[in-house]
Amino acid sequence: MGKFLRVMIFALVAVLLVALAGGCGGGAGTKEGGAPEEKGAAPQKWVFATDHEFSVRPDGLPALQDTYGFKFDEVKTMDLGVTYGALKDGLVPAAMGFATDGRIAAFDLVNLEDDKHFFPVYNPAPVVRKEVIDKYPELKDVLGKIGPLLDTDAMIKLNAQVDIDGKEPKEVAKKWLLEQGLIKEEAPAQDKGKIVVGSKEFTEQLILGQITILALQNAGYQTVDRTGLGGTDIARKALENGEIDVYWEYTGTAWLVALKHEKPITDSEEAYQKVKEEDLAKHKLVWLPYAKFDNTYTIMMRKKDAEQLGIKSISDLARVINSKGK
Amino acid sequence: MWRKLNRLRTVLVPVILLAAGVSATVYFVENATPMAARLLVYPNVLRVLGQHLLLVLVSSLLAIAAAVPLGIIISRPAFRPVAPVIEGIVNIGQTVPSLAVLALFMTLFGLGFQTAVFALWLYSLLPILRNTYAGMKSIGPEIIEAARGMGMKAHRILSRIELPLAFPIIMAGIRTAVVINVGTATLASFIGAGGLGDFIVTGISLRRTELIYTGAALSALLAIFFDDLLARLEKYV
Repeated sequence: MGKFLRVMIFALVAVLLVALAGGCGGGAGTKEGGAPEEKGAAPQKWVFATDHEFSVRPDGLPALQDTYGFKFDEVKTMDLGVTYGALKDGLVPAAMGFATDGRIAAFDLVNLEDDKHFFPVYNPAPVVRKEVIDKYPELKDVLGKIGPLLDTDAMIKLNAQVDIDGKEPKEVAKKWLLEQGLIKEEAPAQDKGKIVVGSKEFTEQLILGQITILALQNAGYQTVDRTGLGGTDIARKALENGEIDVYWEYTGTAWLVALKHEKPITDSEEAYQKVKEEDLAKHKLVWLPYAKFDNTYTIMMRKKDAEQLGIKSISDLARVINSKGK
Repeated sequence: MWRKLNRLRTVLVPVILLAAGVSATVYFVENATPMAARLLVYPNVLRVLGQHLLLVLVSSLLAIAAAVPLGIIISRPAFRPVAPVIEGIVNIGQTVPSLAVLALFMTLFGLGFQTAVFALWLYSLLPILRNTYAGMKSIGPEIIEAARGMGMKAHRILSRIELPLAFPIIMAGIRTAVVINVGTATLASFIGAGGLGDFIVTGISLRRTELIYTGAALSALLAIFFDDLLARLEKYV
């Protein structure tokens, strides 16, 4: 029995030791990447929060670091939705996310500019069937003027109103259109013809769908709401088959998924022109002017830290990381 | 003959496990497709395995340290009335899905190691507590009575009679908890605590099966290894 007690005591001591060791290691995990405490001080250790996919994709983190010529001290992989919170809570000094996520505004984060054009571009644009445009050429103007007014900040705020504040996409879309002077409070009689509007199922798409519906109604069209279709494949097939007349597609997605190209394009204008040309020729689809914002991967920091360290672009970040300890 | 074979078995099991683990890892590392090869390099396999071990060890040992004494306390006559209440509370910890526990405590403790350890600890409590309690209650009152009749004091009855008799049942609880723990620890990857889950989750999101196989194989072998280790400890004591 003495043996038993000895084992128990040994186990308890082991617990304490391991917990202590783990506490140091794990505890440091919360601090090592923490916010710079002194004004202007860079973090001790540049820890980067990323989702699993981005951490190993060939066009993800490894190539990003090669392109910009720097290396994070440590990479922590976690679920995609968690990276924003990790950054906000000060667990890491930098993280990846998607450029128009509403949490960027809500958590006081900032996108670093991709000054070397590393990330593929994903600007959305209204895509309309040619038949429909031929019948109602006015649509080019009605829907074409929306995109250029939508920049990244505007889209982040719209997404935040839905995702963070819990408002309805329709309400958010209407408020924005009124602010921009694109629609009037009272829509005119809808007697010009019927247009079926689609969208994919996530927040940004739902908002873009509602913006389209309201703009069309304001121009006197009758609309059918088919927003919230489950994903790229479904929305795209519905458009090609004429089940819907218009939805917002991203240039990068169309280029890689619908047009089946292998190599992504990293320049917004180039991507738009190529997709526009090919889609018109092959599928009789018309791409109207694209949105200013680009819903692609982004590298984020806390706004306060980025300002203190004078970091605006990923090149700045690379410079700060490389100058550490010199 | 049988005894010899049995003795051989105790040596063979760990050797076979080690060989299986090493050969599976080597096979997957050497045959990794380019994308998976970024993760599947030996130092990285060891690092991830180490993280996983630390998660399991710390949470399991803390769970033993908490649940065994608690189980003993609630088995004392004075505490018998509250035993179902405490068991019920610990039960709740077990019924909430482990992923939800991680998500819930992420907002409290932040991301990473501590949260993962806490969630795993909470998860390991019930099997150990329940078995400790059951083990203590399984001892017939006549045995305690006899010990008392021989003039043994309460603490001596506990250490000399009750604990040794309940020991196999307590150990069974610990073994169950640890084996479950090794599997559950793969979820720690979702909150940035690393471990073999890094391989599995990345494998799923990139559809790279060799990553999933490596993570799953190592995690399964780890579970068998711990179970074997604890079985030995039980026999040794």
